[in-house]
Amino acid sequence: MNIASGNADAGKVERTVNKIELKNITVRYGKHTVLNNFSLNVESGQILGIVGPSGCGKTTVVRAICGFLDPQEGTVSISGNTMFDRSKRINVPPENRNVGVVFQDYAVWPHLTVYENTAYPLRKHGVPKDKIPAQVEEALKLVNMSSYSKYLPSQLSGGQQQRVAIARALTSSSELLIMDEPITNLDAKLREQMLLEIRMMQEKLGTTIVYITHDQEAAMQLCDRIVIMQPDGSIAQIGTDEEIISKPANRFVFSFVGVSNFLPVKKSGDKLCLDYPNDQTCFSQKIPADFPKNSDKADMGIRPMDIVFDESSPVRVKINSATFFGNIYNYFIDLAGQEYRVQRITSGNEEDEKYVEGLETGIRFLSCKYFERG
Amino acid sequence: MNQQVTNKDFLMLEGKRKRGLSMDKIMTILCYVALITVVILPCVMIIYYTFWDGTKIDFEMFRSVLFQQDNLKAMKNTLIIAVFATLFATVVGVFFAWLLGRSDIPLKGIMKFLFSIPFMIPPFLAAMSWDMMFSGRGGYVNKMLMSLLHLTKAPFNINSIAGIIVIEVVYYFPFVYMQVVSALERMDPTLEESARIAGAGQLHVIRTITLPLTVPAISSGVLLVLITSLSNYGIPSMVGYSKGIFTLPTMIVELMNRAGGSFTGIRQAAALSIVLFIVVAIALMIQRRLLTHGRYDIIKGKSMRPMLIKLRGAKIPLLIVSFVFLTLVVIAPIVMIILVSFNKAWGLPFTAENLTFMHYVNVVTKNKMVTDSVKNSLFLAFSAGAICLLLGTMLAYVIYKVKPRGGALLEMMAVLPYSLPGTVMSIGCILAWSGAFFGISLYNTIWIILVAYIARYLSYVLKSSSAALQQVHPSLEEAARSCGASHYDALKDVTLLLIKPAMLSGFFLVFLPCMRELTTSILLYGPKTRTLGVAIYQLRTNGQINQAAALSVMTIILIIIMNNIVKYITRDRRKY
Amino acid sequence: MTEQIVLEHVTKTFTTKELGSVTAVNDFNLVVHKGECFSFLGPSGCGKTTTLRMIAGFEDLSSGSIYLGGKLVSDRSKNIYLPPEKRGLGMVFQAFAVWPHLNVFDNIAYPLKVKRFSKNDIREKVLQAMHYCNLDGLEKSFPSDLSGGQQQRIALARAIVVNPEAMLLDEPLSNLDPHLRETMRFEIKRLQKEFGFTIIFVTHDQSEAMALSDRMLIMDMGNIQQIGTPAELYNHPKNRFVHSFLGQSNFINVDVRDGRVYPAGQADVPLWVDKLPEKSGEQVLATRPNTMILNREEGFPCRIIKRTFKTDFVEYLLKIGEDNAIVQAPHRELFKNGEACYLKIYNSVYYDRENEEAAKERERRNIV
Repeated sequence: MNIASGNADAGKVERTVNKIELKNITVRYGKHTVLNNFSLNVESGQILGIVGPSGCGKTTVVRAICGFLDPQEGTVSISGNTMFDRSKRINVPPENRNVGVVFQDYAVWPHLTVYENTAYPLRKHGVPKDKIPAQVEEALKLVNMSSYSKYLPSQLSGGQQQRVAIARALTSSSELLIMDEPITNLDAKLREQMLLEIRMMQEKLGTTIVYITHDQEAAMQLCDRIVIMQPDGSIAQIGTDEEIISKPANRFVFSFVGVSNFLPVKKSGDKLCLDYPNDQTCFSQKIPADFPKNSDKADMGIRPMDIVFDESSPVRVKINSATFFGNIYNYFIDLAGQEYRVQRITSGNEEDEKYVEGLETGIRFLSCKYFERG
Repeated sequence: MNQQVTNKDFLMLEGKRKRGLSMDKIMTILCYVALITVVILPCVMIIYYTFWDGTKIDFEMFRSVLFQQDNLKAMKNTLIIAVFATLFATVVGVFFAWLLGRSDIPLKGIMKFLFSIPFMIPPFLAAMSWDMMFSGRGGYVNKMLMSLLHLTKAPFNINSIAGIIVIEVVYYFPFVYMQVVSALERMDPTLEESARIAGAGQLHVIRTITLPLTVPAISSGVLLVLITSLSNYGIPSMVGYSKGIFTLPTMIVELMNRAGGSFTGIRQAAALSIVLFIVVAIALMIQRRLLTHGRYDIIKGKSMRPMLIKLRGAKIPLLIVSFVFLTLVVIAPIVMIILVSFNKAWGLPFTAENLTFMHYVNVVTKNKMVTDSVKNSLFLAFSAGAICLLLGTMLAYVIYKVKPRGGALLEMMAVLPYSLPGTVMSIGCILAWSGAFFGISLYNTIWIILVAYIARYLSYVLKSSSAALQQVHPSLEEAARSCGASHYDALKDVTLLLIKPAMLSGFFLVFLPCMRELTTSILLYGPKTRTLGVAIYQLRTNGQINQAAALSVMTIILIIIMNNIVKYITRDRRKY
Repeated sequence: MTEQIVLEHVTKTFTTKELGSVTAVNDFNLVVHKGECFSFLGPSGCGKTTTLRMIAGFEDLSSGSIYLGGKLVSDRSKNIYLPPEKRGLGMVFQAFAVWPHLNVFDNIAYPLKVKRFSKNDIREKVLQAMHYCNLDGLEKSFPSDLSGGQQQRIALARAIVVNPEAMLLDEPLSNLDPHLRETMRFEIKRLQKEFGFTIIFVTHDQSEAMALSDRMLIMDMGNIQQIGTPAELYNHPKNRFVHSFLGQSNFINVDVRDGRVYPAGQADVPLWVDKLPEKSGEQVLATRPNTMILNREEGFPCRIIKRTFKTDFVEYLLKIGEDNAIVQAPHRELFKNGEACYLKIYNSVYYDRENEEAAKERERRNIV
């Protein structure tokens, strides 16, 4: 069913192949609706990240794809084949969906060796016995585990176990992998390395990967496209890392990806001013284009890095605390009685010493987004 | 492109549903049937017999049994023995737990080994051996002391309430010790260190922090001892019977024997069973009440060794006291049984010319009753082990994986016999399987013992299998499914293989107590269905004490071998 | 400034069956001043916890001496060893170590009861300590009903209730989730301001150490590597270990000739650096991702290999000569993957190239 995508023919109608199509999926647990009319396409040959706070239903999405859970409504198709359609009474069991799955807790079988773990899917898929060793060897090589084939999982570290789980998922299906928080249980250093390895493996094989995580940073580092899910189970935004950071679709995306400040602002003629009861300083001579059209008032969303100290600015603040984190200085400032967070990349020179606790100074806003007053 | 392709692999949604569920459903029904037959029917029958005189509901009989002089006395004995045995066993157990867990006393390894010995010897054997040493008439130690100190009367009389209490204390204190020492080992050392930092000295820390923190462990040890003591049959019958000292369990057996099959006699035994059950239930409830106060778990800490308390000058005296005590209560009984088994006749001094292997030869080759009993016990232990293994694992699977409605009820039914005294369970079995249902009479056959064993020990397998099953994370099965394994494949390739070691050790957890069982079999055995326990008991009552000792030694050796097999298997399990 | 905690030539040697004699702490000299917040930082097994436990009195010394508030509390040669309960310290442990059988009030009152304060005094002091630690109204609760953060507050309250001159904190925040960790860090700082006690804080979390402490030290293999303020250690690390252990580092192999710094394997264009080394020849240029500035006007020409968005900033991966380097920059001015740009390197430090053996040892111990 794989048809080469028409990306080469620029200008024509884009004909990307959808590896997974979820249409109008609804999942309820008792009275609680986890997913309501959820639709999502996963394009072939890319890493799609599904990111959201815990409890938003991202794991439910994967379980519906894998067949571990039957939605109340909707259809699931993989590589163009319908896997689930309640109205047509189609429900392919998990073992026939040809999806490789990597779980958060590794789920490598403790009673089988690395080799046996990796060979299991091949045996179940009826691969001829004489072809199994070569395929296992290849998969283990991809995850740098070929020298461990005789080990039992208990003799391996967490990172190594997860590599085995990936190799096993690859022998199960090298076309489509689902990874559900695969690196959450590993320590920070290993997480970085695993992300690099997953990317390298994906580029080598052209595998389609659905990567579930609550960690926006990992998703931005690894994924071609990112789906941000809201706590109610709906999709807030789908886009590249740059789109998510630079053009957040709504207030939720802005505040979910990183630390955010929201300052009340208002239009005052053609000036832009703060909107506190005790401070209405105007700080800009023109109204930005993305200011909400239907109101004079708005919330200005701004990242801590984008607030900079500037003695000459009319917006006056007091520094409540300054904390050194090595590469970053973190400040809490008082603006009109409210506390906000400001960050500076450490310069390593005397400028670092200038902004100390208790200092009264001015701030400027470098890059911000405007949202309807919420 | 997105047309709906129908694939021959596709299963119809509804069809799969029904088939998938039906296997689980069959297992659920099987579990219900098995538990109702094995556990519930006997319980119901006891109540039925107690309060139904054949024509009408009758409370009179129960009242008269309750207030009968002998029974009241048995009740009083049972309570006195249980309370004092528990009290002293707790004191001794906690003391040793602290000594080994928190002080710098040397030779901890040997002592830990000695503490594990009482677990391997059946209580009635221990009682028999104590009787050999301290019997008022002709106990070897008594005789030795008499000639040594020129006494005219035996200094000790084990055939008394105090004697029973002593045997129970030395037999039960390791239960408390085990609970408390493991709590001490798990306890985060920083809990005690922070008290030191707060300004408290070592002794103050023990009193205000260490001991209170072990209260939950002590309580569960106390509960265990109390219930075991209340329902114990072997010890009071071995040393008390000859002097007419009865407890509730021995009284029930006595009533049953006296009844000789008469309806009223059986009804009296049933009524007394209910009394015993109520006593145990009250004990359980009091304990539950107390335990809710200790609503904390000992927090596990970093694996840092706790600061050991230096005993300094007290070290050597404490060491000597400990070893004298342990030698007396742990080693002496075993040595006594061994000596008697090699002695020509009961009462003869242990000299070289009295040494003989005769009793072993006789027991193994000449005594039909003994050889039968070995066969019976092996058959019963194997069958009970195997059936409990299958049934218990199925139950565990149904309760924890299928999770049907009423799963809690299933679990309750399965663990009920755990707190039910063995005598009560056996009376129930007799009442239920002597033709009360469909004319099935298993009385005097080996099958009635088997059913009773299964009922009593099923919960052992349930516990070990369900603990293992709960550790098999669902994602392990799901991983198999996503690798192309069907539901059945995943069960077979992953789940079953993973819990196999636990199932095996569950088998031995049933096999071992069955091999040394007395309480149930003494009530249920028939002319051809004696068990090892019954055989030893009867050899002794018949006065063939040396043969009884020989058979006991062989039983102990068998149990030790089996015990090591279990240890080997459970150690193997830690690999995962 | 008054000296609160003084360690002189403190050495601790353990003897184990497997390894023989192991020196866990070697000739440790330190002066912590009154009211100071001082951190011990180092990889696990570096000896920081052992040092703390020697100060607390849970371990004896092999040699050397420890003074608390001017009083000698540990000295092997003079056979002086004051048990922990007599040292008058406060201590907070990683696993909270609140007593589950006592309610919040009794937990906090324990040190006072041991010291036989009057009932009224106890009540007053405990309630005050609870107030300072935001535990108001929880007197009757049991620790098992409370969250990890609240339990750690109980431990803090229990430590401050006797108003100790010094507090020892043994990884007190590492069992808490990241958000709570930050809150608790502020609370500790606030309490210290309020009561003025001296803090020794043991941690393996460097951002925690830098954020909390006035001064800190980095230990490795039982030896002190460097003592100083967090900014001193971060901006001017004495050796390669400190540089790589504290924060992210870029190590670039360079050739220095004619007063210019050339990246190894790229002899034509010199790097733009703020500082030149004292000597010429093959060396390692060490710097930090935050002191490398990318721009479109001037500096060392290079190309972005990969751009990764982090929540606070963007990380650019560059290749400089034969080494990779990471640059951190704000989100607002983006460079694209593959874009050509210029690089300026500030705060550069130069170290000698390490030999192969040292590099292998470093790799084995998993230090960058």
